[in-house]
Amino acid sequence: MTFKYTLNNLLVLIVVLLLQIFVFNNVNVYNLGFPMIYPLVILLIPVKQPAYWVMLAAFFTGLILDFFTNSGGLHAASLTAMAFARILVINKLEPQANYGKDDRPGIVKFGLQWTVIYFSILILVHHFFYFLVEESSVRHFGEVLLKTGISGILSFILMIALNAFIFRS
Amino acid sequence: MRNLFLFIKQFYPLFLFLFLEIIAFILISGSNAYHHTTFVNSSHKVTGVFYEKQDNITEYFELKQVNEVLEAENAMLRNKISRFKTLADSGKVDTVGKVVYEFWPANVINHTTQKKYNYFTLDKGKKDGMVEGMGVIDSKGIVGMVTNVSNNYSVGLSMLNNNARTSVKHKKSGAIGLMRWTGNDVLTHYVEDITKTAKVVIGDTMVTSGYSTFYPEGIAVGIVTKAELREGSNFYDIEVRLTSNILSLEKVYVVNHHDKIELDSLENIPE
Repeated sequence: MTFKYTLNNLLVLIVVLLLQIFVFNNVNVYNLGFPMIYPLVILLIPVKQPAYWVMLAAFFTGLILDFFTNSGGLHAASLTAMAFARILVINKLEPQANYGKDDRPGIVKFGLQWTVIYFSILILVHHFFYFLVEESSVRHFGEVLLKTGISGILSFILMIALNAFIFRS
Repeated sequence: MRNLFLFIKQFYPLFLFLFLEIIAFILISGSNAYHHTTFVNSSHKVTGVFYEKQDNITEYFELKQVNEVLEAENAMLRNKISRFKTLADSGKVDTVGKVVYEFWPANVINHTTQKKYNYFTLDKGKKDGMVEGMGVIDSKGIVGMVTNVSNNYSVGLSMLNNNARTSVKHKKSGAIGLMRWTGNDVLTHYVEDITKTAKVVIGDTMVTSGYSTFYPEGIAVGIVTKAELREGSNFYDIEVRLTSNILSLEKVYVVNHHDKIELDSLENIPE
């Protein structure tokens, strides 16, 4: 079981990264919408996975993207921030009946409302961090917020749609 | 001591988070420097191969457009040659002078335009004679300069990069200015330091000044879209639009200056 499980995870990681690098990195909606779907691989890690594991996974996933986009450690920084926020969000969102051992975030397991809240908060954290660090000043703060909002909506829709195809169980 | 361990155990995600962020920010600050020397860049073998594969596919979609551009350039060069030929035949041109600049064709296999610090990747590297600091132009204007070179690939700083500074010349008057990009609008570059005696009007052309070894003199840079003389100022506030096809780069030329190393070492003598 574990081997197949690992293989599955690896496959999802590769597919999502390839989609991001070769498709969505080329999308630019009026210089404001830059959809980013790769946070999905961190969002979909089972809730009970240890924090260090999630954060290291986030850091290295981000670093792979940085290799491809010449952005130093921008993706790594923002994805790690999201992974850290994930710990807090998952704690806050814990349902009455506690989390099961292998529960994986998603509509199937936790329902629409839980998933929408979980996805939107973490996508906003990631995008805001990303655009703020990219701009690296507060002079164009309005633009950072606008980019966060518009890109966030695009990413959110794409990720929810993708979630319907991967890890349905 | 036991309390300390307990404390660390309880808050280890926070420490790990801070630790990883520090590493990430060190990498970011390295990549934003003018000559970024970080190991995270797309001149690497792995990423280079990936982008080359992608370019092999997407290249076909733009073949027609690329062809048209090259055709137009061919025609222009033919005209130039014929003009020089008549001049040379009449003995008016110094034909024994040595060639200083050479242009090498290269393919852009990856480039970005939507960020504040944009780069492009070329399919030529050390083994093709590429070195850092070479200028890159396309058939219509300047594109950027090479900043990182690996064996088979090289990465260049695009004109659409907050760190790009280019010495430009107002073609009509010869006034020298400095062009930069703020990172907001791909259609707008700013030129400073052009004095008000230059009489700049909208539609004028800015060309390279030839003061650096990156580009030869007189290569097109941009068309003036706005020229204002602020009250009490001796300098114009100029906005230009790049003439190069910076948003969809395909075929470019790398500028090789024959005496580059000699000139650079001469100009950089430590004080």
